[in-house]
Amino acid sequence: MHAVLTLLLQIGVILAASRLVGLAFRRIQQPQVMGEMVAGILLGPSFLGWIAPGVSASLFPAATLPALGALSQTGLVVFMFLVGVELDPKLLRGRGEAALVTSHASIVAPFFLGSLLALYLYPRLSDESVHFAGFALFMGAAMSVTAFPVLARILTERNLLRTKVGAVTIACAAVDDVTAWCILAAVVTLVRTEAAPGELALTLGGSALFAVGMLFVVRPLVARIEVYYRNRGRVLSQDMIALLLLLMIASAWTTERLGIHALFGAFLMGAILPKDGQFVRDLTAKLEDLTVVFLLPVFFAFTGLRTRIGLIQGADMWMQCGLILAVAVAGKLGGSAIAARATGLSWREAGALGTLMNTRGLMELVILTIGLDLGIISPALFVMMVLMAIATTFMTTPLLEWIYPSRLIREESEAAESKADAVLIPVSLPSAGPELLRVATALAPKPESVVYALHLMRASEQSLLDGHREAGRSEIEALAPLLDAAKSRGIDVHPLSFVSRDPGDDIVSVAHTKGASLVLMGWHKPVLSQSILSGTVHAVMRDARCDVAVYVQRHYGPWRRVLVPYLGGVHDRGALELARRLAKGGGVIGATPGVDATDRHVTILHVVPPDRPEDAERAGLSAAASAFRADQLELKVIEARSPLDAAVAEAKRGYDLVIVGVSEEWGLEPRMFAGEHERLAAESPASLLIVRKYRRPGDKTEILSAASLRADTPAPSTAA
Amino acid sequence: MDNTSDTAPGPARPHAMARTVLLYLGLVGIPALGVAAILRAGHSITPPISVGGRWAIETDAASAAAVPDLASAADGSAPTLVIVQSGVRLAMNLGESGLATSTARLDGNRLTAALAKGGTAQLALDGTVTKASGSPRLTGELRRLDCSSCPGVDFSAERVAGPHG
Repeated sequence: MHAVLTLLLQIGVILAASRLVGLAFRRIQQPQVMGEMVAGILLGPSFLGWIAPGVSASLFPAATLPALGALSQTGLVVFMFLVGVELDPKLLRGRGEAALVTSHASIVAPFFLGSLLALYLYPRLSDESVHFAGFALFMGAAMSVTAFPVLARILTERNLLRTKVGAVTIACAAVDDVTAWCILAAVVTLVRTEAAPGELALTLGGSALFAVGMLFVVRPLVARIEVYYRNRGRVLSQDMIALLLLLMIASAWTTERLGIHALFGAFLMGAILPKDGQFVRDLTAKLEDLTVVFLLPVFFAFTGLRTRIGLIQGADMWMQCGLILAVAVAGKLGGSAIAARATGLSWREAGALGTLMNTRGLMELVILTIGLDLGIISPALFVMMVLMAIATTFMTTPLLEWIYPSRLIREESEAAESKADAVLIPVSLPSAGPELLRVATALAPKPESVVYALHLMRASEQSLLDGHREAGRSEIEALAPLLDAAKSRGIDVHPLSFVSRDPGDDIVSVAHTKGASLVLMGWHKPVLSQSILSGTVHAVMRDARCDVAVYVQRHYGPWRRVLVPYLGGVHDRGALELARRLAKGGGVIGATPGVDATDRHVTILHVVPPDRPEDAERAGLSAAASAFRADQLELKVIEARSPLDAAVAEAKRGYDLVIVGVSEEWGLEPRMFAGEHERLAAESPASLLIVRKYRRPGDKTEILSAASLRADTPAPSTAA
Repeated sequence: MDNTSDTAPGPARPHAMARTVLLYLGLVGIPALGVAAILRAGHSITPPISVGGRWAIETDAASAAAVPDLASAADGSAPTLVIVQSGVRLAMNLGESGLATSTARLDGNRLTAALAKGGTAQLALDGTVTKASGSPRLTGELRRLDCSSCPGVDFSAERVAGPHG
């Protein structure tokens, strides 16, 4: 058959097998990559070559394997570039002593045991063409590796990222990833220069020069690409992608030429790219699908073709295989868990961390392939290590479920979310800062809630040459009035500032990163639109995974009378919740000097249609009336055909603040463009706080009741 | 309002730091020293000799006549023996004859193997690897297992390619 036809047939079979087996593995709660690894083995001599040698020989004739191998290596180069791109340097530092000790121990413990095992395996599974030092160091590195991409996916899928275990694990895995690759680079250099001693100086000197050049010459240059990307409206053009791929290829070529390996160059190029979230997302989105769906399965199949399980013969070799697995698990799982326990995690948490770190997956296969290509490990040892990689990856999900059930993860994750409770204040107009701070402190869910003040600069304010820099003095000056007010009131506010092309997207991103439970936005009349809930506000209300409130200031001074129009929707409940925080916490109303405690009211205006019978919501409100009174809330029920007319009429009766949930009934809905609505906002003389309540997945709309009010009573606020 | 600092107050801090240092030394420092000790100890281990790669078997007409598999493996040129080595364990293929190892083992510089086709052992190999100047040589005897009366045939082979090419 023609070579191209054979190659296309091979790729087709590989893709089909990897998707089918991947699907089957997903059905048993295993990651897709696990199925793809197994599919590769199934296509090799261990299964297809065993049950149908004729089919195997005609599908994968030896003469075509170099082409498949080249495609596989190309896929790996791009994949390692993506691994580098997604590497977040923030994860490598500042995670505390527990993460430092645990991450280093999780490398050294399996490294030590792997080297120890080398003493036993070297005379049995290696030969004189490999020096012991290279063999032992390689075994150590291969035992130490963690599959960062698979692990990150498992953490995300199981909602573990915001738990303590998740935070420490992801930091440890990132450290492990980088360290393992550095060790492996050293091992490869050692082995290659042993074979050609004259090249040692070239390899070491060239590698040092290359690393310095990448960090101090190439890195600032690629930072400008990212600035260019932002100033072009965050559009990643084909020219920019081509440039980045060219840089990746140049870097991979250089490291291969230096005698390390092409994969290190690709990884380093990805690692030094700027880590702006949107840039990384865009770049990976462009490259990831093709790499993961198309090229990586080819690598798995090529690995499978080299995995001949038949090389493991006899009980003693299977025992060696078992020993490798035991040492791998003891070193990585055991070492990480003991270190985590010693640094303060519970046994359950430490066990979960160890289990996650024990996931080797694809990264192990990459390392083993390098080892086999260089002759550091023998074919039989390669097979044993591949089986170990598959076994340790496969065991992760069931072991994790056993050690750390999903139910517990959910509870801990919810606890972490409730602990976060930060408030984010995006500040556009500097003069509005102090008032927004006053509102934010009054609405903060807890006394210990962290307040972040965010000022976003327009991209045009930054020149291309400014590069990638932290928020400077001029940016903080925009927050100066707010920070001065905070200082005078003894409130600690964290200022944030950066260039933004898409403020809505950036506000949502910062809110998520900082664990905000409330985004409080100010509103000032824009040039072109009269609408409050359009533009950036619309984007934030649409995308933020937390409550959002927009404050429209009309009344100056303390709020004596607050109105909460209420129909019973989820956002109305959000408005009610904030009103209760104001009233019960004593926040603005209670703590305002000179305001008589008896001269303050929060009125809940429950509007019901005249022809509507008594419903559950109304009954719940009535039942909760006593709880409202205890919180200084007054319930007022009126019958009206038009809730909006009733609310507008009531708002004109001397209220200082109206707190209202977004809804069609109130004429307040977030829209991309301004429309003929927002009458309540237009006609109310009082200040307005428009609330969009975030509904977490799985949240149910409950009927308001006295019991539910007691359950979510907030702690008293210290805000003044 | 902000209360996020996790810094322990006053005197507890130096104690925690000392504990961390001790933990680090115990969990990281000692295993690292262990790795250094292992690398030192490993120098004294003698690994199996290297026999992996492609070997060209030198035969004469009489040998080829006595062992038909050699002739079929030769395909007109010198028959080749491909050895995949994993320590003392070997996997062999004799040219295009279809003969592959059923068992093979390396003991010092002595190599013994039984080559089979279709599950039936047909050829026994007993050889010694010697290293003079240049490429290693394998010399020994090939004997048919399906013919007890057939005499063994001496052979000699030279490694023409290592395990990686």
